[in-house]
Amino acid sequence: MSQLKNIVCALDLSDQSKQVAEYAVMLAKMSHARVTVVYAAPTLTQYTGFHVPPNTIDNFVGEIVSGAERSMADFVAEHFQGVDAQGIVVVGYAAEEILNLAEKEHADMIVMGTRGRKGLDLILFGSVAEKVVKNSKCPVLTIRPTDDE
Amino acid sequence: MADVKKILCPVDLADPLPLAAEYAGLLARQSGAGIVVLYVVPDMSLFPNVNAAPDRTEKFIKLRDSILDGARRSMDRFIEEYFHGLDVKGEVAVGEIAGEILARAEREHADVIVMGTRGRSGLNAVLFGSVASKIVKSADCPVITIRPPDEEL
Repeated sequence: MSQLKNIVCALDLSDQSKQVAEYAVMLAKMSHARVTVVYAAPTLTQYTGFHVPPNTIDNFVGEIVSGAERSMADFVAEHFQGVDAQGIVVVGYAAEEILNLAEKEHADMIVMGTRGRKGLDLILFGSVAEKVVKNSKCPVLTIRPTDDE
Repeated sequence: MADVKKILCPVDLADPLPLAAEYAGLLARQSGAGIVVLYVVPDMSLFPNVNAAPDRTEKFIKLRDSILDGARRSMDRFIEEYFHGLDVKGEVAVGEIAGEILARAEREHADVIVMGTRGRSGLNAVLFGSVASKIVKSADCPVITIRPPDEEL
């Protein structure tokens, strides 16, 4: 039976992320696992066809990523205390990036929220979780926000 | 703080490789949590035509009762095999699968549900995937889903 050695914790750096982090931390402490905390910034390459200069989009995504890297570092420092955790920011389609990372890190479990981001993302992130659940080779722990109603 | 004291593990008793059960067992051993193992026999309302004639209904009830008896015996064996030495309770319920799982999770104050994304035999092979989807979307507690390794589609 598989032990828990590597956990991938996918976050959107929203209000819900704290709750998701708690479960990853609990599991990590229980099993002395290492945690890779990931935020997948959306790629905007699909908009390059819209007569937006490609550089504009790249710069914009670059800014988002460096901002997210700072938020991620702060988040990991605050919410993953006492755990061997590393935060990273990737760019791409969230479900795909999370699944790829899980494979690369030989994850024994993925921990993620079922939704969290606002607006359109609220719909999208649910489907991210669903895609991950359906395609992941390792078990997936999903957490639905409690302040959902 | 997140804590695991009670695990709800819905199972397909006919699954020859119940990864979710193994996983729930592992989690229980690491956390000291108790486990409720649940098998849901689909309710007869899933087969509306059965209600057509009264004697059919009677036959169905008989059939269902014998399924329930069999399920309870299988559950005992299942628990002995996968949850030996753990604080575990087996439950066989009748109803709509996702609804029963969610209701049970609430009643038992489950801290986590551990389940496969689909069963691997018969009707459950079709139903269980959509069940897992519903649970992930609607459960108040976290859900651990485990996909069988050789799942097609």
